[in-house]
Amino acid sequence: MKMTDFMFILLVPFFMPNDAHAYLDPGTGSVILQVVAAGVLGALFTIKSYWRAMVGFITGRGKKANDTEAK
Amino acid sequence: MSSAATSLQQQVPLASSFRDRSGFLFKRDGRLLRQVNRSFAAHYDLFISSGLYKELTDSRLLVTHLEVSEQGATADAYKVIEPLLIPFISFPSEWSFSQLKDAALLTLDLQERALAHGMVLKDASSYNVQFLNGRPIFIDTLSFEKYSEGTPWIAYRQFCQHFLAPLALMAKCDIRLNHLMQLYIDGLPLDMTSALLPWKTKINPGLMLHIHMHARSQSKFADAAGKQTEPVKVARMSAQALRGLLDSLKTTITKLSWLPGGTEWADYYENTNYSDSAMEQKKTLVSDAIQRIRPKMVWDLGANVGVFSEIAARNGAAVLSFDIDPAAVEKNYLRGKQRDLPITPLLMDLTNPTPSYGWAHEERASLEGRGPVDMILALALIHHLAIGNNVPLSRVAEYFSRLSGHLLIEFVPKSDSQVIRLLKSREDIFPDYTPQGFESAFSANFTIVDKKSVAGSDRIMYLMRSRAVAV
Repeated sequence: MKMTDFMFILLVPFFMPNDAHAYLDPGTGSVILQVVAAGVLGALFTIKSYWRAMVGFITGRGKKANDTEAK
Repeated sequence: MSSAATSLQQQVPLASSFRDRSGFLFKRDGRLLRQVNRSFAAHYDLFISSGLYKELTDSRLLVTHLEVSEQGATADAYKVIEPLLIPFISFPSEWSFSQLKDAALLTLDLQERALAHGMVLKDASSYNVQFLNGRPIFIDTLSFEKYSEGTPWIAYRQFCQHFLAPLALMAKCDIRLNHLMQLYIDGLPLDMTSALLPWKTKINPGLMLHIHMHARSQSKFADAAGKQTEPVKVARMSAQALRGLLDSLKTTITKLSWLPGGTEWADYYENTNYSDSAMEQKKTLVSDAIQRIRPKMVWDLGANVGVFSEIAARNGAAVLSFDIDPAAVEKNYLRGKQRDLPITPLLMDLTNPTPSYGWAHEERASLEGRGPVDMILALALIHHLAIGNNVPLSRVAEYFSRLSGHLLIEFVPKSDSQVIRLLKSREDIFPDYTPQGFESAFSANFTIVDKKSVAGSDRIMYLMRSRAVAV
């Protein structure tokens, strides 16, 4: 077994979905990828939201940049 | 027999409504009803009380419904609702590129709006979107559940399989790969999509992440769940991370594009030998026939970009505008978005129409199973079926008579340049392909109500009434 495979298997318990009400199987691999990627995408989205707010403030367009502004 | 027993006999659960245990659709005495199960009561109540239902229906993104006092179909019923009826259920494999793209963006829009109300979409099936009067609309009222802060999006995999994968293949490989959606009822397998997509899609950040890496992650962890013996911890991701994920999906899908053109029929009206006056007369014949029959719904078969569909729609009919060519359907759809007309363009190969598929061949109905319709238009079509595809005229007549109560059909004779073109490179094995042969074949299944020549051409327009479908 490659080292990366070993590390992934160690990670599995931390990413397993356990929503008992879901009728769909979210898929282990899909959840792991989603959680890892979303951390980065969420940060980028926050920066993007602030950037838009700043551009909006400077150009005077739009009172708020995004309804989904960072909390 | 008790009234309850009678009622049970008259109600039929829909064959397509069994996957989700939150509730189900059933028909009772011809009405379409949806039962909300007790287990889903809290989610349904939040959906209404949070204002999400009102926002979505006011924006025409979700079908409206009425809560009715009907008895449920089972003892598990919390409420029974009667949703707005969609007159024709279409499937993702029948949509053009922009229709599937709009359905994908609608799903993401609903998810974002749901999140703002403390809710989330618990599934992301493309079958939950339908086209009503040419616009995409969400039909599954029970897809919204309470959002629990920190949980990942359960439907992420399904969204990628149902929307992103077919759109990427259509945009980056071949537009005809939409047909794969008929073969894979829960969306396209991501490993297959990843293998089919060109290498250069790996430098597209969205496709790299949501298709290629996603497929790799699925394959790596395919057996991981079964190997766990310890109780598992919950995967956590913040609401902002979820918003970032949705934004990334939206950006990836928005950037996918396909330009119609270069396919067989896209420039058809520029290349016909119809004179302007003959075209105008043909339009008048169609308009007169629609006004005479007054159909609620029309299927325009071989509709191309929908010129005659528009005439039917302007005369008060809801129209499904079928064509085999993805470019024609795409153009028809994009044109329709600018007009407010009840036309839904759909992809259909009449020589191999959508069969019934899914569980027990019942989950998704065939084209015929979704009929019959009040009236069919078959204009400039018969030569493609009878000569281009060798279907005997009697078989065309028999099939059409099962599909519709009325038929407006144009006979295109051998002297017509379009037929000459079809016969140029092959032997003429169609001795019966004459107006007399045509009338004789169709008379077995139809009563010919009217017959008019199209001025300036050798074509003949027939209005017929089916013997098989009561009108």
